[in-house]
Amino acid sequence: MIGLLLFVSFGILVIIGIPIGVSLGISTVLAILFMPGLNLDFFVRGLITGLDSFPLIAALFFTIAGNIMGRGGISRRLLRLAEYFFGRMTGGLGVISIVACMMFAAISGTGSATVAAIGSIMIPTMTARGYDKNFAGSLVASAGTIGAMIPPSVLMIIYAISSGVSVTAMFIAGVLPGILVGLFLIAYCCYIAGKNNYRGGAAEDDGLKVSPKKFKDILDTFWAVSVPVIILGGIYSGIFTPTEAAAVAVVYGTLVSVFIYREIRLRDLPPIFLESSLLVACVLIILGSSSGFGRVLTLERVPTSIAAFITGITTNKILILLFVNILLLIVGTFMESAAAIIILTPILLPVVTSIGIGPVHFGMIMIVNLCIGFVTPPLGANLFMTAQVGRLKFDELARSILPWIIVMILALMIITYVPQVSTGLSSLLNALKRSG
Amino acid sequence: MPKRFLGWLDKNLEPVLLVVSSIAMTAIVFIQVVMRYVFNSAFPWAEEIARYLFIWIIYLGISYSCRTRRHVRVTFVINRFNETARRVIILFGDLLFFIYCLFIVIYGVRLNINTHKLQQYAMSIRLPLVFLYSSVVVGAFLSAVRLVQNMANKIRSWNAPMETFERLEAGDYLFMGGDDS
Repeated sequence: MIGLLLFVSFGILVIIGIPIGVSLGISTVLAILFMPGLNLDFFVRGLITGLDSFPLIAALFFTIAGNIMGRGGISRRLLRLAEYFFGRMTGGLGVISIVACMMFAAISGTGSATVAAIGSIMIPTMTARGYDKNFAGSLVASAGTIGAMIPPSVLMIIYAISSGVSVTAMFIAGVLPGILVGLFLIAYCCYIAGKNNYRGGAAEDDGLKVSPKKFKDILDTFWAVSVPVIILGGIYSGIFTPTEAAAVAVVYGTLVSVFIYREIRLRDLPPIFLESSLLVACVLIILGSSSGFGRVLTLERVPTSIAAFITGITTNKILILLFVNILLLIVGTFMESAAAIIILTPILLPVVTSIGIGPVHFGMIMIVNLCIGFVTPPLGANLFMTAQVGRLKFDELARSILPWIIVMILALMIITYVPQVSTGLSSLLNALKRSG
Repeated sequence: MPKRFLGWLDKNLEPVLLVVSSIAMTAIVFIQVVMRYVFNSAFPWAEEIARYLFIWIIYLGISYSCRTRRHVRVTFVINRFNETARRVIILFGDLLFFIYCLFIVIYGVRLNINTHKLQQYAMSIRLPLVFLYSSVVVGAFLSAVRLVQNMANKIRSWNAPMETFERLEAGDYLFMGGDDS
């Protein structure tokens, strides 16, 4: 009964446009008022204790680092590097865009900066080479979703905090699923490029000949490419915690962007710090009120009754996962992804663990799923961003994105039904550690 | 002079604090890594101070996001309503948010009084926990102020075009100019 009050009031508040964190807070307070023996002090205390976590700080640091490096000319250099490898193949420009998005994903914690940076360069370039402009736009919008799938990722940090797994475990789990989605996109891009004869051979490309300019360009990208090596290598080998790695990324990104690439000045930094902290605060207000929300859910046994309800209908793992995926795809279309993770994790995690899905594997299902939500019409942050930077019509873009969504859903199905994609790398690392 | 000062505060209070504390937090965590690997020693308090600064950053950020209406919300449903209904709903939303903030201020102050009475301190240094728990009170109080500014502003510009009405920032009217044009 109180569970119903909680969900109905939350739904109404969200639909009339109250900020999600506030809606969650108000409906939790309402529920507590109807629960005998509970006082509101624990709710207010939860607003602080729910956020008092050292690993969570990494979310802010990775956002700052991503914003600094997004403006620091790193994406342009990554594009140039990718061009040397893939410039000559059919559909090369598309492949370059996807690979650059994947590389940038390994540097930054979010995807939206990638779409803007790479889209504004590559959509006009591809169009000039005879690519269909909506194909080019859909390609960049979909590739941008990889930003949050490949570690470091703010969504992984938020999921780790909400589910109680370690940030490092999520960062290891995300590598292969992210690459898998990237490869699927590349395959589809090459298929269409072959069909429509989108030829490669970029102007700057002179094959594999070694030239001083090429050498200088590759050396130039060294600073950018070494970021994932420092961050992820440092975390996986245990040199530092994810939060420390993120702070190192901020300092390193600042040094490279300001002093080596000279694309931003020191006085550009305060606005970047401000923007990033506002962005993170707007997400974490939801996490703050979710600790009281989660407590009410548990006291009212909502997750266990939902789990019992679902397993009462079917205990078929495949069907339940399919149902969960469809639910997440719908939610991902309409709700901000971090908000969806914070609200749905305490509800869905008990359901899937009861049928034997591990929390790390489920985290990847959830994240990939919600990332697809970045490009699902009628809403989708990446679609809006792409339409804006590529000067495309939103409804045309929304139509041409559909095959890309299907491709990503295929990859998602593999990630859902083959847990080894998410857990394989960590077993491999453990095996290496034991033998080494 | 006081009006200009209030205007400056309106625009810059949270941003200045946010920038200073986020840079300080980055520096503390970074220096901690350097100390551990280069000098083989670490500050016992670094993690705790970073966490406290982080919570302050979130609550100050929440308040400044009220000023600029950046909070994460679902708008596609109300965007289908007619204009008058949207205006009423937006104003009603601010009012609910305001009441919620008042509630947090009241219970937050109670929490702080209890914490103070119990003389609770942080784990690593002799910093009273009130320093941590007051962040939520200050954040909610400043949010409440921002929301009053918002509501006053919106009532004053009730007949402005929808575009302007939605984007009005808290400080647009109260401190900047304040004329009726």
